[in-house]
Amino acid sequence: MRLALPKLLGAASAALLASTALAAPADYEPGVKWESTVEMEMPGMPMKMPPQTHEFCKPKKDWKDPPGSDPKKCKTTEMKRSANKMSWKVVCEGKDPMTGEGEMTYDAKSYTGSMRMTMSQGVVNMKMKGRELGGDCDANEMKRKVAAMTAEANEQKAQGERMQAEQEAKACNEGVQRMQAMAFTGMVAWCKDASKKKEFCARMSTRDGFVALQKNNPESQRGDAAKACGKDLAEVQAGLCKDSRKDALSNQGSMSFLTTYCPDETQALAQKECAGLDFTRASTQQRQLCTSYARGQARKPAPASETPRSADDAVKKAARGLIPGF
Amino acid sequence: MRLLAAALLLAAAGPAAGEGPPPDPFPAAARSYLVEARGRVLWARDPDAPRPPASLTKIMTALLALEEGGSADAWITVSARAARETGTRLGLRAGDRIRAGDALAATLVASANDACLALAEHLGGGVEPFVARMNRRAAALGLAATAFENPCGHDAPGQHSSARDLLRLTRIALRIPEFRRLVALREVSLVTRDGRRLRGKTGNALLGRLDGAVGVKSGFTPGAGKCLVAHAVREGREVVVVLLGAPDRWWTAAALVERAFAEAPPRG
Repeated sequence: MRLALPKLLGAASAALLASTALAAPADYEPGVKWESTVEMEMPGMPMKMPPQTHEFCKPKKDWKDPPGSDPKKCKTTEMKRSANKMSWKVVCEGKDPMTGEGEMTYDAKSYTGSMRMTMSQGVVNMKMKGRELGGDCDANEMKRKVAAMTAEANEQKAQGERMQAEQEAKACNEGVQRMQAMAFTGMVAWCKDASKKKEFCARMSTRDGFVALQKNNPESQRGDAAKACGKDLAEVQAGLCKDSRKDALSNQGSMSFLTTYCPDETQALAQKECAGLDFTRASTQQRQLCTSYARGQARKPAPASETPRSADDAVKKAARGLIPGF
Repeated sequence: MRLLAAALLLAAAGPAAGEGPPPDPFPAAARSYLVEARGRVLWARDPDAPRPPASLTKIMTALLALEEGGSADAWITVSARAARETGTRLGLRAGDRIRAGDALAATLVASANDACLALAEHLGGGVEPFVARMNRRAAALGLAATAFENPCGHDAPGQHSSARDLLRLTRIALRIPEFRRLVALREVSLVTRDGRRLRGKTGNALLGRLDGAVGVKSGFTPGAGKCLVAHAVREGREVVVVLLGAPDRWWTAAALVERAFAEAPPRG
C-alpha cells in the first residue's frame, strides 16, 4: 500500500498533465497579459472621448505588429525598428477605409506611442500607452475567436442560401406539379430554373398536366402558358382527346378526361356505345360515358310523335326500350 | 362547350320560393319529373300533374307501416287475395305466415305485391280500410294531387300522385331511419313460419352502380310507364330525383343525379 501510493499519485499527475496538454489548442501561442490605454481626439469635435483601457495578450516574442493592429482588416507597411522605437504605416480597407501612421517607444514592460488615422470623416489622433500586467495567456485566442465567429457567420450565410435554394426548388416543383402558369410565365415568374420550365411545358401535353393547368389557372393564363411553351392549347387538347378516345372504355382516367374535355369524341363514342345499352350490364366506364350522353339526350325536346298518347302507346314505347327490334 | 355550360347554369338556376316554376332543361327525361338538391327544386316538368304512380305507391304503404304498424315481429297470415296478387311477387301462398317486418322489407325492396297486400290487410284490418288511411294521411300531408285506390300501385282511375307530392312523401318517409335502411338494401330474404325461404332482389338498378345511390323505389305499370324515386348522398349533400313515365329511367336518373350534384357543390 505504501509503495503503491506514490505510483498512484504519479499516474494521476501524468494523466492530469496529459489532459492539460490535450486541452491546449494546436495553435496556442504563449503570451503575457498587457493593459492598453488609448486616448482619441478628433479635431473639430466639441467633446474629447475619455481614454479607453482594455487588456490584451501579447506574444512573448518581441512586438511583431503594433499594439491594437488587426491584420485581417488592416495591412501594416513600412515597419521600421530601432533599439526601442518602432514606426509604421497602416492601410485599412473595407466599409470604412482609412490610412494612418504611428510610432512608439517601448521596453520590456511598457510602451508609449501615438497614431494619426485619416478616414472619410476626418483625422483622428491617438495617444497610446501600455504596460505589462503579467500572467500567461494565449496570444492567438482572440484570432481564434474571430476566426470562429467568421466561420459561423459564413456557415449561417451558406445555410441561408441553401434554405433559399431549397425553397425555390420546392416552389418550382410545386409549380410543375400544379401546372401554375405564373410560376413560369409573365413578368413575375418566380421559378427561374430553365429545366423546370422545360418540365412544365412537357407536362402540359400529358393528361394529368393538362387537367391541372385547367383547374389551377384562369383561362387567360392558360393560353399564355401554352404560348410561352411554344404550344397551341387547342391542339394539345385535341391530341389528348384523340389518345383518350383509344382506351376510354378500358381506362377510367381516359374516360374521365374524354367526358370532361372532349365533347365531340364523347358524342361519337356514346352514339356507338350507348344506344340500347342496358344500365345494369354497363361497365363503369360505359356508365360514365352513357350518363353523360343521357344528359344530352334528355335535353332534347321530346318529339310529339314519341310522346305517349295512350296506355297502349306507353306499353309499346316501353317495350321498344327493352326488346331490340320491337 | 363553354356556351352550353353557361346556358345550363342560366337555365338550371332554380327559382326561390315565389319566383315562378322551376326550369325544365330536360324535356325528354320523363312525362313528369322533379330534381331536388340540398332542399331546393332545381328542375321540374309538370311537377303537379296527377299521374299514375305505379309501385311508388308503396312509399305511402311503408310510411303507414312504420308510423303505425306495431311490432315488426308480429306474424301475418297471407290471404288468398294477397296470394293472387299480380305483377312483381315474392311467391307467397295463401296461408303462409310471415313476419310483418319481412313483409315490409319485401314490399319496399322487392316491390312484392303479394307481401304488400298481406301487409296492408294486416295493418288495416282489410284492404279498403287501409287505403282509407292512406288517403287520410295524404290529405294530412297536403298531397293535393294524390289519391289511392289500392295499396300497391296497380293502375286505377282513382290512383294518382304527382312528382312534387311524391317528393314530399319521400322526404317524410326518409326521416324514419328504418325506411332509409330498407330502401338501400339490394336484396331481401325471409323465412315463412313453416320454414320456406323466399328471396327478392331490389328493383332499383342504381344501388351499387351510381355513386351515392341509397334509395328509394322504382315502379312500372302500363299506365304509369317507368317510374322512379332516386335518392343519392355524397359528402353530406342529398339529391332526390322523381321520374314519372320516363323513357329510360336508369340512364336518365343517373344523368340527372350527376348534374344535380354538379349544380350543388359542397359547402365551404
